[in-house]
Amino acid sequence: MLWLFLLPLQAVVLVILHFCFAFSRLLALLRQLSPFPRNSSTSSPLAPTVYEIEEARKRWKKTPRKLSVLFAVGKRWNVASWRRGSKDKEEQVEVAKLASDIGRLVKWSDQLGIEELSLYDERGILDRQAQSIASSLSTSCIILQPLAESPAGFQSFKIATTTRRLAKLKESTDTSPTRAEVDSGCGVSDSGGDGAVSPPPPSSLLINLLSRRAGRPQLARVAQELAHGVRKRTYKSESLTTGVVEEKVEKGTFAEPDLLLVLGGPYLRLRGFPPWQIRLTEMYHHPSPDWLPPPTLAWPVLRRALDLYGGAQMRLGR
Amino acid sequence: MVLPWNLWDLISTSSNDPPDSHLPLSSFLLAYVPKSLHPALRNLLIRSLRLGPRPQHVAFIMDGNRRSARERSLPVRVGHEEGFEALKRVLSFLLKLEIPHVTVYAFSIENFNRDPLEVEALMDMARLRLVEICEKGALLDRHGVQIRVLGRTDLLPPDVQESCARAEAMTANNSKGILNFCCPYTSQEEMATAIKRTATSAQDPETITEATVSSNLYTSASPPLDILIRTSGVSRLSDFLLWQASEDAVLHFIPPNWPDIGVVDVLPPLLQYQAESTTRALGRWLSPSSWSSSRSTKVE
Repeated sequence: MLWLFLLPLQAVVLVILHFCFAFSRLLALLRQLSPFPRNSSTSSPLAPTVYEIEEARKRWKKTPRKLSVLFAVGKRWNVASWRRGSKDKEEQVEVAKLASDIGRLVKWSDQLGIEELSLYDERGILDRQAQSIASSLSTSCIILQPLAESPAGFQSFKIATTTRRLAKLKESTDTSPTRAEVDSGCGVSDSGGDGAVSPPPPSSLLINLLSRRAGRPQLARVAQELAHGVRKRTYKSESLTTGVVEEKVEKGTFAEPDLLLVLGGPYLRLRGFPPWQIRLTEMYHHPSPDWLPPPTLAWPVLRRALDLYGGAQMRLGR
Repeated sequence: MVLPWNLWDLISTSSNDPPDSHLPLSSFLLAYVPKSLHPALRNLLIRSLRLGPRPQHVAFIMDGNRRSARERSLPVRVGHEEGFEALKRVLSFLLKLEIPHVTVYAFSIENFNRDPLEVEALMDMARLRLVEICEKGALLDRHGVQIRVLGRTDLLPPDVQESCARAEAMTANNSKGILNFCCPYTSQEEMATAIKRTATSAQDPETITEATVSSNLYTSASPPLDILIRTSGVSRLSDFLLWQASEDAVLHFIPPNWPDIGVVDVLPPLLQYQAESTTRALGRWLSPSSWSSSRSTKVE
């Protein structure tokens, strides 16, 4: 009969543990959602000044050359998802949000000297809606020039942008638009007003839009191609070494990111992110519950990720 | 007086486990609880956690052995020895919780680049300590767990290879779980080997899928990874279980060094798993058609 006494005791202990765990997570969430930011040095979390970015940069021992962002779009939280036939509308809302985040990220990356951005979402929205995103970014004077589609299952773009010019315009103390600013389009040299201003050189930033197909399915495709090669005797079984496999996998793929920012989701999960490339990637997770809308990519979030990377020590097995 | 078995079990240490094989209840709160009560608390905790769902496969990157030794001005070798003792304690805790599959990153292929004296010390440990935990009556035998040494074992010295083979043979008949001891291992080498095996053994290339490649990984005998924990506060995977961790596994990067790991460090990941599993099960039960979790939002 003693087990009748012990079982409820164990159940009570379990409930207490879970209560303490849930309470600590609730406190962490409230702190994160607090309208009073911990670090109030940023004037605007979505539009930090050039000075703020430079000041933050001075704190870091290093900045990443290759940055990856995983947008945890997660489950469909939008009310529209409950109505039939509104899947497209919901996706348009998500595309607009992603385009807005990407636009800010491109500008900050340009400022920080990041050379390659690899952006991923588990539902393939970035991959499917690449053209919509490019159109949306063009309204912010960020022009994406598509490169030939990579054989490794993702889309790449080079930037032809005037972001530096845009940054200079925004930093200008003269807030009243000149006739030149009103009349000129993106990337076109101004004329009139203070005279001709030649556009800065285009950014060298490369953007990769990734989806699940660039991950495990891509590795399965490599295995398929090699299997065809073995059947057609292009490769002998004995000469098919891991070195040959590595070469085939790495051909045309995106560079290993130095830092991966996982934006959203209650816990750190990689959600199908390509596994081959994250061998030595530093990871930072900005948590957000699944029952809230996906978080916005704000400068404080990126800065915390860069703080983690900037202080990291690489030992490479030694 | 003979107490009923279950109350005695609750208030005493497990009579079969050596006294040093218990994960410490290291926490500032428990500093106020007399150490004589820690075994009872530990047993109560384990039995309580067993009432809820538990992960089937947990992995550890055992980082921080050298740092822990250096912080106390001890030789690095001592850090590795303490690390092995910590491994026994963690394994004991997880096996009592009936978590059947545990994968540990013992030695990377890159670690051969370390100081030769340190590499030799690690090889010494592999020669002697692996067999120690596989012997009759030892940890793995008590819990019916088999050991598998995964990776490029051909790179190990012949006598270490022999020790690994002996450890595997001693536990080959155990069927309640698997300890995947990755040594020497890198995940890219594992994935490349899996792709190679898939390509050379496939009858029809068109039938090759992710699952086919997955079945050729070193860890294919274990279920999908649920939790990966890395100690010492470093937040990267360092070429460990990249394929297995890239889907639904939850990654935890925790501050303590590996030799200092305690129950309080392993508890939050386990509670998180239980909370999420329970919430998902409730969600499926309440609204099976409209429940949309991260597992079901795959597109490709």
